[in-house]
Amino acid sequence: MKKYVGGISDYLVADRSMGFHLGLLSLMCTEIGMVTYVYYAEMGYRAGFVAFMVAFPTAIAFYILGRTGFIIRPLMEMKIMTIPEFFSKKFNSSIRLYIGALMAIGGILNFGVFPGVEAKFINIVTGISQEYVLITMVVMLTVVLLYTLMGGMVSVILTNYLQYALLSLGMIFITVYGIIKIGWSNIVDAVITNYGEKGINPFYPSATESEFGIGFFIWQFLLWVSILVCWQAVSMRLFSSKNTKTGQKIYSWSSLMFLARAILPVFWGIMALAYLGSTIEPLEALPLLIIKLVPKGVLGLIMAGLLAASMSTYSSYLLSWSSVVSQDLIGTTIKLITGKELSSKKQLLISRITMAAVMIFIIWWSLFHKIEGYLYFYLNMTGMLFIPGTLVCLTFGIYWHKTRTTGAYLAITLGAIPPVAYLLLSEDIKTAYASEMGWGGFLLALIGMLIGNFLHDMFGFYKQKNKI
Amino acid sequence: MNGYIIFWAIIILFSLISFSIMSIKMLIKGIPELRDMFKQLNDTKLKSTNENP
Repeated sequence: MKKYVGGISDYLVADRSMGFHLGLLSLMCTEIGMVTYVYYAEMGYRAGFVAFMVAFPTAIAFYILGRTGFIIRPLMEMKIMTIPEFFSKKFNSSIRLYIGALMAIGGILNFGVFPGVEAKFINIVTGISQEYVLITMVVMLTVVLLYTLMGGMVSVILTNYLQYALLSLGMIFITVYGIIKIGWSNIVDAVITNYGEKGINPFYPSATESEFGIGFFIWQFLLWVSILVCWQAVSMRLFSSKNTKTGQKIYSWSSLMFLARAILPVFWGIMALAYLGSTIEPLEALPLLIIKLVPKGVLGLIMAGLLAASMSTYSSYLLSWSSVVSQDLIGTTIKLITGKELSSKKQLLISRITMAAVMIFIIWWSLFHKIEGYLYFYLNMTGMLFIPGTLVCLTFGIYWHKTRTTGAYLAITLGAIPPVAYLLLSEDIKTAYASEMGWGGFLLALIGMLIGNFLHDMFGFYKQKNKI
Repeated sequence: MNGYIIFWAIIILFSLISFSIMSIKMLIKGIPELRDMFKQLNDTKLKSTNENP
């Protein structure tokens, strides 16, 4: 694998050689891990059919961006490898450093809960004790680290292909077998008994008061538009694709695939409610369902599929977040100090060392961090540390030539306030105001951009006037 | 409420069928694309080796 990787562009974006089917497959693999199944199943278990609402904003965001090329086309035409690169081209290197730091913190905190959640999952399904499961996770992560270190994006895409075959088979089997074994009428009865109309009608008691109502939809739509343009693991697929047309086509068709990515695991959570009752810990609903529902002979195959899903996510996330640290933090700092670009070989070496460091950190974080509220919301909010500011800066930076550096700084800073508050507040407030804090982040980022631009122009104007 | 139940049933069925069909299609058509990707990477590497021996 290493023989195909000559420089940093081969390593991070596979020399922009990825075709449509391979790109779609690789994107699916990256964004489907054991943790994805767990958080969606938790939502289905805790909320019933209304949790399906989580799938629609994602699908719509993919379709609109794929069809229109909004933001993504200009980004692909710029031939960048990471999103913060855009910031140094449009604004300056200091902003690249700032957004890179927020991206690295948000992304790694997000990634950091994966091993813990998945270790618990494996522990329940296999019965292996927690302590040994963690050792298993470390071994699995080391294998992933080794092949990602060697071949970068090339080995990620190749292993994604093999992993997708297993994970898709597992997803189809659990859904079909679950419906046959539990029965559709029992599933519907379980939702009605446990949640009544609230579990079936997403706009109950009203569209504005419902947990999955209008506010949730707006937040999720904005969040997913941002994820599609600035979530490093996703945008790297875009930058690795052959050309802009292929990149847009991957996004358009992803709308269909990402609909299924959410609907099927949410449905497994609802099946767990019908099959196991409502008294179990929501995050344990899926592993318990699998162990009780799936026949012993097939369990091994399903586990292989689940592990494959995890490995593919780990490899992509390791590559993505370490590329932000190596390219945007370390690389930019060195350039700011020495005034020189690092050679491609040195960048490659730093990228590989960073990857190992990120892996060690996420193992440590997953051991000590306790999640409160929906796991899905925790993951969203860690990402939101940089997402609102980045989306606003990208949109203004690409489509409005008068965008100023002060506006970018303020947008990034104000957009990060609600997610920081969410991560620090108590569980009750988190659950009650998650949507408000979600869309509030985007609103604050927009206000920050407008105020910053206004201040920049005003003070810039006075400076010029004083000079005259 | 019945209207919503039917709607959710259609969504589940639609997701399951589209996911299955697309997965098979991606796995079949992904093989020649993998081959093309390695070919391009190989060609690029050869080109850069020839330019900087």
